[in-house]
Amino acid sequence: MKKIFSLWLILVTGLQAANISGYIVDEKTGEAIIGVNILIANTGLGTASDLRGFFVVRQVPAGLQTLRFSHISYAERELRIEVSDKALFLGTIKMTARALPTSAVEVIGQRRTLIEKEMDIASFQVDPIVLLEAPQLRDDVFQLLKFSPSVSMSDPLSPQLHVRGSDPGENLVQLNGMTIYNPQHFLSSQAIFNPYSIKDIEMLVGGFDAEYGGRNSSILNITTREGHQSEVHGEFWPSTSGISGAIEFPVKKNATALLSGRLISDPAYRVLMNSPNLMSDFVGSYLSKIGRTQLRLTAFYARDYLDYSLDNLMLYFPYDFYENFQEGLITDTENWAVGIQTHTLIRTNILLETHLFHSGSRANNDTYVNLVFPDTVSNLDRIIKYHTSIRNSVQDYTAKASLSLYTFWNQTFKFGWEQSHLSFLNKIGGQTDTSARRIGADLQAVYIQDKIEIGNLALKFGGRSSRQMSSESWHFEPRAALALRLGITTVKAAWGHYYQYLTTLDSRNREFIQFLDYYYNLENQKPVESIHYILGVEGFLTDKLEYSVTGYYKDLIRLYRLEYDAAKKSLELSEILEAGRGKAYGIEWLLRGEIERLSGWVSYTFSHGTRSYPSLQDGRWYYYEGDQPHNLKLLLMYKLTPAITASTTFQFSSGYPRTWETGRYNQYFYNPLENSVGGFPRDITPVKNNVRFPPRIVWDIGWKKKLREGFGQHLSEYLGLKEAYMTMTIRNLLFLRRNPYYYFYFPGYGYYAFGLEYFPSVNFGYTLRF
Amino acid sequence: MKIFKNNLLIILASVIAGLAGWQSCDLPWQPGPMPDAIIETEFVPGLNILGIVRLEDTTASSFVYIERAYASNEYETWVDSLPIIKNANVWIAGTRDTTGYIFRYYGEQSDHKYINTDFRPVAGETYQLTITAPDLPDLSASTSVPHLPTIDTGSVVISDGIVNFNLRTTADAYLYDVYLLCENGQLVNRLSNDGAIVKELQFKLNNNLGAPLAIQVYGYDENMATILNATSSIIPQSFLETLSTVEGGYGCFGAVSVLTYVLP
Repeated sequence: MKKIFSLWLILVTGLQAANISGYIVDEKTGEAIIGVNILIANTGLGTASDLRGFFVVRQVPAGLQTLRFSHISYAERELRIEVSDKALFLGTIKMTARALPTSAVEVIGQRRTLIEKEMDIASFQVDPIVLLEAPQLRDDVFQLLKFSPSVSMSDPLSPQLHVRGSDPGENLVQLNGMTIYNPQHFLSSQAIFNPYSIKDIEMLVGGFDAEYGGRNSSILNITTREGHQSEVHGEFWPSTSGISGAIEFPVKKNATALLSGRLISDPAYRVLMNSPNLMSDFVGSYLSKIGRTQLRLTAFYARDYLDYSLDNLMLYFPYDFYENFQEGLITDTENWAVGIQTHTLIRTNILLETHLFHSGSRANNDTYVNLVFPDTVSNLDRIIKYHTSIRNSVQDYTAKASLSLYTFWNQTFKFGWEQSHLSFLNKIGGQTDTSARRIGADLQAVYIQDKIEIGNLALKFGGRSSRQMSSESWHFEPRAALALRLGITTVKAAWGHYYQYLTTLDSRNREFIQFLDYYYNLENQKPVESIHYILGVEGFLTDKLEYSVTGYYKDLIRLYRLEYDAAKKSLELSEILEAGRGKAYGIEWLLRGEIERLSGWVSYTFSHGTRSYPSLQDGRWYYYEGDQPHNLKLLLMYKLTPAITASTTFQFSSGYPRTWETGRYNQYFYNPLENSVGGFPRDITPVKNNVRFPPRIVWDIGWKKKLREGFGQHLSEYLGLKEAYMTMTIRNLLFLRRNPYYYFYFPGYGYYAFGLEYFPSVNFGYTLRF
Repeated sequence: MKIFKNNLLIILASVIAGLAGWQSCDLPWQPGPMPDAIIETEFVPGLNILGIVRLEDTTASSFVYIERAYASNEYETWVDSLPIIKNANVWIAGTRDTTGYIFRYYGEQSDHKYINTDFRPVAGETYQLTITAPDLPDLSASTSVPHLPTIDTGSVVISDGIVNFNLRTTADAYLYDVYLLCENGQLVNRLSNDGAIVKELQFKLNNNLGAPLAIQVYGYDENMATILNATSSIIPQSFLETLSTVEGGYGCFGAVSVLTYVLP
């Protein structure tokens, strides 16, 4: 065995004598450049740089060779080098940004030239500049992701996303590789990532590699910027509701840092409603390059607090329709992560990566409604006393390591190992502190994957083996994908088996909006399990306009239903979890890129998702809450001038399924002391999700202008800043068309479709950069 | 390319305008667009009851309270007054004591309940309920009366503002409400019957309650335990399983046994 391993090691390393590798960075800022196309002239050999600007070109023939580095935003560069039979590390290669601004907003992040990415059949990658150029997205990563063809949502106010028919608890969000458990602010459902600090946004919506595990539906990778290597730069955004800022700067030679933060408090809530509220998030990142090692430290913290009571609103609109009316909510959430990553080039074609991080989330949520319906005829009052209380926290300590080998046939072997210790605290309803459920879990995984390119065919296959260490049994997760280039068209396919060891509580029957994921460990339970099949075709209509058509089918072999009321009654997870099944399928059309000064994308998706649980309707299949058969999405930006960008976002989505009552009866409560009866109304709902809400249609426009005069420009000059921008958004242009959120019955009127926005809203803002 | 771009923009603008014009002009005071049915679902009429067979020392306190469920288009009726059924025929009979008892409605005098002052339930007995009402389906149900729990006299200790005692449960009670009655109020503790024959209980007094006077224990059968633990939701358009332990209608027919222990 030793001899075989040694021989294999020699083959994969010793035979790769003519590998060339290096890092590509921006000459001025020092930031790694993603997606630089590297070609060896007259050989057909090439590759592209990854997230860290790293590249490896394999098996370069000996002799004098010309390397061409090209990227749409940078001046092309050539390097002539003498290649021997030994591996060659070029160190850091600097590229100079083009003097002329691009004609359109860069949206596809040079995906076209990312040969690495050609394998990814289900990847939605967007340049974060879109967040800055389209102000109606409110600087929110999740608003942007809602325009992905693979994403649907069951609640427009909730940040929970359904990706290709899966549940929100099956999505993994990572910030520089650290798991973030509740990556959204409470009040606005806004992502907790300051867009200035974001360098890359990539969402894998299926078919992901064996190195990704622990979640079955999607992986959202947010990568922060590294910081300017020679100057101090940043952004400052004051507003009436808070302040946002970021700064990047060199720390010392080969070391940079980035700090960003936001502090937001809604004055209307605070002053008019006497409701204290706060949303805040902070990110810090430090990158140091020591020889062939890159060391990155990342720290993150977010905090939300809101104490809201409708009683305060009643001061302005006194209404004695109900007696003893009280309604409100108190939410207090915290989110944090701290980690250290290393990226070491051991040899020209061998890369070692390690990662240690600690992350966690804590949520305390209380909602209450109390009121009395006086019955003057029968003299029997009807009382509603409604209180939901959730305490949920999760702490994650994870260590990861991986070894990548770049070898012949453009192969990339990757071996990896992960170990996580998780601890959970769950307390529901009236449980006391002593009866709250506290659980620890240890998860372990190893994986191996290989990617091979032979001519026009690229194959990727691998496997991941994972387990909860309390259980002796490992679960094997095979993954496979292929891409076949046929001229300007590429046919892709992917298949994968997935396991997940966490589930989330469903509180939608108890909270008007479920903002948060409440995590539970699947202790002594079989994991969540699914198999994905994906087939698609991609191509280019022009050199800057690409299309894709992707079909998928998911067999959700095992899902879990954990509802608030069940969790309230028992501490034994085995008693309250219910296993069920699901299916999801769909087809997505996407057209994106640039046409002269117009850029963006248009997508249409047809999809369905169903569920079945034994105790619900005797196991009958029903459309799940995120089922939206038709989704048409559009995000376009037009560069009117180099200083002005006009943008529009439009979305037409089928309504989501909901349960419509056929009638009502009183649910009784009994007072044994007085032997008396009371009741409150309960809907009769014989069938789950038996109606579909009307379609949602939303249209917003935005405007971003670099200032050369006016207040913003004068302020910028006064402060000695580099530049200033003004943004304007008009949201809800189709305000005469209601998008129903709930239906309420009003006596003497009938059913009323309650929407969230009845008028268009106009917003202005300034952004100051230094 | 310019023609292609212009054509694309025209197509997109037309699609947006068409979708924008569809079902538009929906003013805030109008009801708004209604949902479409995926599965046609019909209202099933029926009686909605809370019937309790109450085992107490000397009092005939069993009753049946009867309303009806109402369809969505009858909501106006519910708003004005409760849909109490006042002309139903209510009959309860035991499996051993087959005499049968007719319960009658006495309006406000009986708090709108159907009662029978001669009905004295027996512990361990199973009772059948039958209700008929005009234009509504017949309703039937059954319940078994739990045996009375007991309090170990020697275990009752009152000191330092704390009342301790041991409660001996019975296998046929599924849920208990334990009240500590005091001069100025009461404390309550709800507990499931998890199979432990003896449960150690404790109440902490506060100054407002005054001196403790008595302990009252209510033991519920399975039907009552189901109803008392039932989920509820005020979230519109939520799915809730129909709450029923009866046949042909909605609601509950259950039993409760009452123990009163006067503290020394």
